[in-house]
Amino acid sequence: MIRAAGLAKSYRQAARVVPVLENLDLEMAAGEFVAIMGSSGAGKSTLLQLLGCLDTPDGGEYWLADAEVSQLDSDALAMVRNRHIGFVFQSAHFVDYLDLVDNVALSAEYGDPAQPEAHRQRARELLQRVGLGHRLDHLPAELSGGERQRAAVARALFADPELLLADEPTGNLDDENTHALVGLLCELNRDGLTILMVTHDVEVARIAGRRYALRSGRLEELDA
Amino acid sequence: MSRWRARIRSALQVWRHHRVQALLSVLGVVAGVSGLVTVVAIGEGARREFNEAIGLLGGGTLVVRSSGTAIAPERIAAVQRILGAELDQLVPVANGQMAIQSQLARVDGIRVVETGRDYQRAQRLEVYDGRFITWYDQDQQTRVCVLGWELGRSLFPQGGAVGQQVRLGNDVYMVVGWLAPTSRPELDFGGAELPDLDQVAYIPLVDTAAKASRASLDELILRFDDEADMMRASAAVQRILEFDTPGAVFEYVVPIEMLRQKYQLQTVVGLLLMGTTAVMLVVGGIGIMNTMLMTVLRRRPEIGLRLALGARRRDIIEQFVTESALVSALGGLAGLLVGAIVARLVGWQLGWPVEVGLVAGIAGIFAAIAVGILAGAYPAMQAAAVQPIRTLNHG
Repeated sequence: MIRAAGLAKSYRQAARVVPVLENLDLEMAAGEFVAIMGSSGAGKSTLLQLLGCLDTPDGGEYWLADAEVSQLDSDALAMVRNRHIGFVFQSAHFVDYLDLVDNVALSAEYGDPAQPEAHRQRARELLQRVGLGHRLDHLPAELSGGERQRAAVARALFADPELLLADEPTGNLDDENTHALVGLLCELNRDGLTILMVTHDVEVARIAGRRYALRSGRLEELDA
Repeated sequence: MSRWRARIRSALQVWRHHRVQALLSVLGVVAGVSGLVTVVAIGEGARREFNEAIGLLGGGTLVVRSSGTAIAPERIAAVQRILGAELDQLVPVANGQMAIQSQLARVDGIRVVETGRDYQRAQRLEVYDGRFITWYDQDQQTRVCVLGWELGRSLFPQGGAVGQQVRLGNDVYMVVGWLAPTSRPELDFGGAELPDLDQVAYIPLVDTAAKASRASLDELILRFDDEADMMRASAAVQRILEFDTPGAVFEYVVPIEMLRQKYQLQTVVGLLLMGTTAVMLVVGGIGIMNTMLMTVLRRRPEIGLRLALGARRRDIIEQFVTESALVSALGGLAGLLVGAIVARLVGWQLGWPVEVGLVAGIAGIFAAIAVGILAGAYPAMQAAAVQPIRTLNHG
């Protein structure tokens, strides 16, 4: 599913170059659940940006679903994000002026904007699945933190992606909502979805099949 | 197509959610477009009036008026003889003023025009009922009269004026014709050069040699093929009429020249307004740009989210430019409405013809959309430069 070999990324700060990722390798099979841990500033966001096709690496190769995506131009990367990757972020951002159904179906605007009613129907089904069937026409501001994060999962599943990238998905949740979200992610993984999650929380990371720590720009497998 | 439909739908949802912000941001555009509509409406009205008036008056018309002294019949004959074929029409007129009375009503101080049958063609008059004055009337000195539209309505409110009798001064006349309303626009040149032809009674001008016994022959309408012929001949007309006639004061009225002066005044006012309008549109554009920049700042997480969900940078630019153009176009529509009202008020106050038509509407909407696109371009570039992950993690 994922093969990253020798990935490198650095940023320029004033006159000097700051390396963030150096010669990073990662392989994930389809249906795997991997957790990546690391301290602040370790490069977790940068890694997600590269794996999520939101940026291109300075060096190395990145294969996603048997296609080399590290050399694609920005329009092709946008299409990969739209069709193959789902995102769940720490802060569950939504478009504040759209109701929940339109928010979940938002990615259709950049994929296949025709048949909006079919898209809305799929969004309704996904919201039912994450337990938000009673909130379909609500605005995001009317939801609790846990509901927002579950809605974010529904949105990430909209395009039926092969890969789900979750960046600190439980970071803003209380224990009860954390437990519910973790349960949802496990269920999705059992259904065959490949999940890569970045988290600070050791307990949450335990649900993953494999765990890595990001140190000095490289991944070190824990419990190996 | 469906992509743009989605963009417009999304833009409508944004502004519906932020109505007050939208309203405040487009005030400048509303003012600018309403000014533009007013300017175009005045320009179009002036142009229409000019063209209609030229069509009705003819470009080659010269009107000569004498005050104090009657125009001598032999001078008129001399004008006719000397100008010969150059002259298309020469219509002598004697203007008077008196009371007119029917069995039903009396109107004081109406204008009585003594003239011949050529007057009808010279003034492009149309007969509603009956006929105009003929050679026979002039030759036989018949006591017949033709009424202008409004005068006929005043004297015979029930209609059926033709065949009735009216009293003009001490004489009784048979009404043989009732003219249709004139379509000539109101032309106020600060005097009575082009009077209201709907309030006139026409009677036959008898043999000009015998005119001394009746009202003074005080007006000549000369028509030439075109303006150039008229301008060439006017000096000769002046020489013939004024030669050896001490004390005579002649006034030479060239309707097309007066129209042109009026049109030029309206054009100058229009240009001044256009300058003001341009400034207002620029200010309106700055207002929209300011709002859009704030919007981009506020909506950075949304932009990051859209990028993460598969939006290309181009999609983000298109979205924000669409929002800007749409809100500006809505402001433009409001401006059209305000402009149409202002244009009519200006026309009513200054007595100018205005025409709020398709040209004004298209110009207003086009200007508003152009302002919206220009004002939205820079904020849209800013939006497209947002880094998604950082924005989504840190706001």
